[in-house]
Amino acid sequence: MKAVENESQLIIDACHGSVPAFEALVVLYEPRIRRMLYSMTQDAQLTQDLCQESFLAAYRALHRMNGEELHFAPWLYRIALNQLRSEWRRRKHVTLVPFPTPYGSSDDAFDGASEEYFMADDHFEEAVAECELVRQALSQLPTSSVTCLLLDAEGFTYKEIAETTHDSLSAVRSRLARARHSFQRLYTRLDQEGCL
Amino acid sequence: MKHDSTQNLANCSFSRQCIHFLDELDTFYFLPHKGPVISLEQPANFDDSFLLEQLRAHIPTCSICTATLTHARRLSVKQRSMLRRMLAENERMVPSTSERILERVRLKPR
Repeated sequence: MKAVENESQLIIDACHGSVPAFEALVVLYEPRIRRMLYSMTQDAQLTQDLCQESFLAAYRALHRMNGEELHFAPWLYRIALNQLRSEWRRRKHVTLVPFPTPYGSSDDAFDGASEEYFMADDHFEEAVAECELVRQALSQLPTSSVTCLLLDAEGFTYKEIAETTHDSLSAVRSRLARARHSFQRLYTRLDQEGCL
Repeated sequence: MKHDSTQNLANCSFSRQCIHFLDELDTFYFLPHKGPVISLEQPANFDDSFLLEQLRAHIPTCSICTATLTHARRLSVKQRSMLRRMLAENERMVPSTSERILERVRLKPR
């Protein structure tokens, strides 16, 4: 997965110590890392802390990497997931319980198509309810399944998911198939129970 | 999202594999003209490649696997859409940390 055309050059430059190149990568990837971490923690403060630490860890490690061979997205997501795991170990657990969160914080990086979907009056309530159901369904799945589903939704290839999670390709394929099935079962049950 | 169950579908010994290889099957054989659902590399594993070829030959002749694949395809497209909407909404719910990161990087160059 590459976020922009000149990403390869940015990665090479960042590995050679270019701060502007690293800054460009932060601008590209911070929203993605932030939304994935929040999807897994449902805690805005923790998400911000982990997001910041992930990028700083990446910055500290970049000079040791070969920019021409580095698969930046899987590498960065792996750092973020490791930060999250360390935090979970430190806290023993972070409860993945969805909670109602006030809407309204602004961010320029909002996806256009989704914005359109949410802003249409007819869709708004339906979209909010759907998001909550998705969060609840994810909260009941194993972390490894959630990770696969989110990376797949972000457009990662199976190979990139395998790189990120340190799994084999066939393990990713099986996990994703199971995760889709379980997610569907949970989502349907929650929807039928009228959980909102 | 409406639930369309696969429970009514009869079983074929290949159906499970059809679901597992859904993305590869669609990307390489069944939906290439529409562009890949997601970007995939050809499987490096010989067994996987062999199985994919078997499935490609089998599916057009099997109504059960065809229905299974259609169902699984519809489901994965819906799920990805829902997850992407949730991710976009989650991005909006947490204030950006970019500036904080950049400030710290500028303060402490490597």
